[in-house]
Amino acid sequence: MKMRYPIAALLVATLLGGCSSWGAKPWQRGALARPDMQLDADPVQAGLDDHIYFSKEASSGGRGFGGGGCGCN
Amino acid sequence: MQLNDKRRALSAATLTLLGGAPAAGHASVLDGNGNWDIDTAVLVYSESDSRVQLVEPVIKGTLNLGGERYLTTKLVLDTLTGASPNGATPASHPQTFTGPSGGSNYTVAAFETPLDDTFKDTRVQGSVDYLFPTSPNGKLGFGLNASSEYDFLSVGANARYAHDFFQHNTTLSAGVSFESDQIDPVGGAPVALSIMPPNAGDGEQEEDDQEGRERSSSESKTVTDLIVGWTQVISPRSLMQVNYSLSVASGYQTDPYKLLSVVGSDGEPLRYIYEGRPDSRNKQALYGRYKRLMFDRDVFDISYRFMTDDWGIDSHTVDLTYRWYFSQNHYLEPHLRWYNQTAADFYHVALYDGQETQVDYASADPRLSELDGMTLGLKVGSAWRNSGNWSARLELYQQQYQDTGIPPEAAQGLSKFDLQPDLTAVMLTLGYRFKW
Repeated sequence: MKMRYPIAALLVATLLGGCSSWGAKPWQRGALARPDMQLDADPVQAGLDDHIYFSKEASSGGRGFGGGGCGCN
Repeated sequence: MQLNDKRRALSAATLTLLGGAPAAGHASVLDGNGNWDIDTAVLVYSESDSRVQLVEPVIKGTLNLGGERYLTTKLVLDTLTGASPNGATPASHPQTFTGPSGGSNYTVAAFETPLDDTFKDTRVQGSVDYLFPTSPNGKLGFGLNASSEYDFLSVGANARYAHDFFQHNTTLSAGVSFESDQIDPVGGAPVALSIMPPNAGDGEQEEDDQEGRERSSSESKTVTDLIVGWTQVISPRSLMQVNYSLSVASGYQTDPYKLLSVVGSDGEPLRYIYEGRPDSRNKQALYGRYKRLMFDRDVFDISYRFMTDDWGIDSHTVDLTYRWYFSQNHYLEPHLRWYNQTAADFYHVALYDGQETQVDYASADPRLSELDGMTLGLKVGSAWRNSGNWSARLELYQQQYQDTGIPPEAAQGLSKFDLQPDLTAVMLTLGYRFKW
C-alpha cells in the first residue's frame, strides 16, 4: 500500500514533464485562433443537442452544466 | 487584418469558460463591422409513428462591449406536439386511460404501445450572460436563465471563472450553477404508486387517491451543478479538455403523467398506477475532448463522456465530427454519436400483481431503461465569410431498448407484446450567423 503514493507522484511528475513540452508559442497560434478550432465553435447547435438528448436519455453534464430548465415530459 | 484578429483571439483558443453560455470568447475572432454577433437557428425534430414533433427556433446575440467584455442574450422557443408513451404495456384488448386533466380519456388499440396523444407543450426560455476579464489571465462570467412551460417554471443562475497559465497554454476553470424548478401538473401531482382511477372521464376531477391522500397542486425541485475543467493546448494544431461535473438534484423528479401497468401472470393489465421516483439524485460525469486541425484545413473533433448516478444509471457517450473543407468557404461535416446507458434500479416494464406494495419507487419511462442510441448526421455550411455564415444539418437518431425490468412471474405472458419498440427521429437544423 505504501508504494501507491510514490507511484502516483511519479505519474504526476511524468504527466507534468510531458505537459512542459506541450503547448504553442504565441507566434504559433494561427490555427488555434480559428473560429472552428474553438471548443464552443457552435454554441447554439450544442444547446439544441443538449436539449434533445436531455429529453430522450437519462444523462446530462460533462461539457457544461447539466441540461435543465425543461420539464421534458 | 487577420493578424490583428488573431492577436486579439490568442486567449480565446484556451480560455473557454465552462457552463451555460460560454460562447463569447470567440466572438472576437469573427471579423466584421458590427458589435453584435448574432447566431440564429431553427431545429425541426420529428419522431416516427406520429410521436413527438418539435420546432425550436433560437436567437442568440453577443454584444462586444470592448476590453474583452461580452454581454450575451439568448431566446429559445419550443413547440411540442405529438404522442408520448404513457408507460403502460400493450394488452390483448383495447385500453382506456384517463388523460392528465381528468376530463379527457383516450383509448389505445389492442397490442399497441399506449401513447398519450394529449401531449402538447410550448416552452419559452431566456438567458443573459456577462463575461469580463479580472486580470490578463482570468475571466469571470455570470449568467441568469429562466424557462417557462404551462406546467413548469425554472429559474437559475450561474458563475464561472477561468484562469490561464503558461502563456495561455493551460486553462483551469470552475463553475457553479443553481436552478429552482416549480412543477404544476395538470390535475395535480398524483400520489406515487397510487392507482389511476378507472373512467374518470365523466368530468369529475379526481382529487384524492384511494387512501384519501390529496393530490398536491404544486411541487418543486432544486438542482445544484459544480464543474471543474482543464483545457490544454497540446501543439500549435491540437488541444484537449477534461471536465468533471457533479449535479445534485433534490425534490420532485417524478413524471406526473407516467403510468405503470400492474399485470397478472398472463401479462394482461389488472390496473394502472402512477409512477414514483426518488426525491434525490446525484450525477457525476467525466468528460474528455480532443480537437485537431488536419492538413491545415479540416477539423477533427472527438469527445467521450462517462456519467454515473445514484439511481443506478451509468452511461457512455462518444461524439465524433470531421469538418472537411471541400472549397475555400464551404465544408461538409459528418457526425457520429454513440450512446449507451444502463437502467435505473427502479425501472420496470410493468409490475406483477402485488409488487406495487413491495417497492418504494417504480417507473416504466423508457428513458430510464437500458438503451443504446445512435446518431448519424451530415452538416453543410459556409465559413470565413464576413457577411455571415449559414449551415444546415440533417441527422438520424435511433434508440434501441434492451429487455430489462420484466417481472419474471409475467415474463411468459408479456412475451407476446412488443414492450419497447425502437424510436427513430429525424432532426434538421438550419443556422445563420452574422455580424450586426
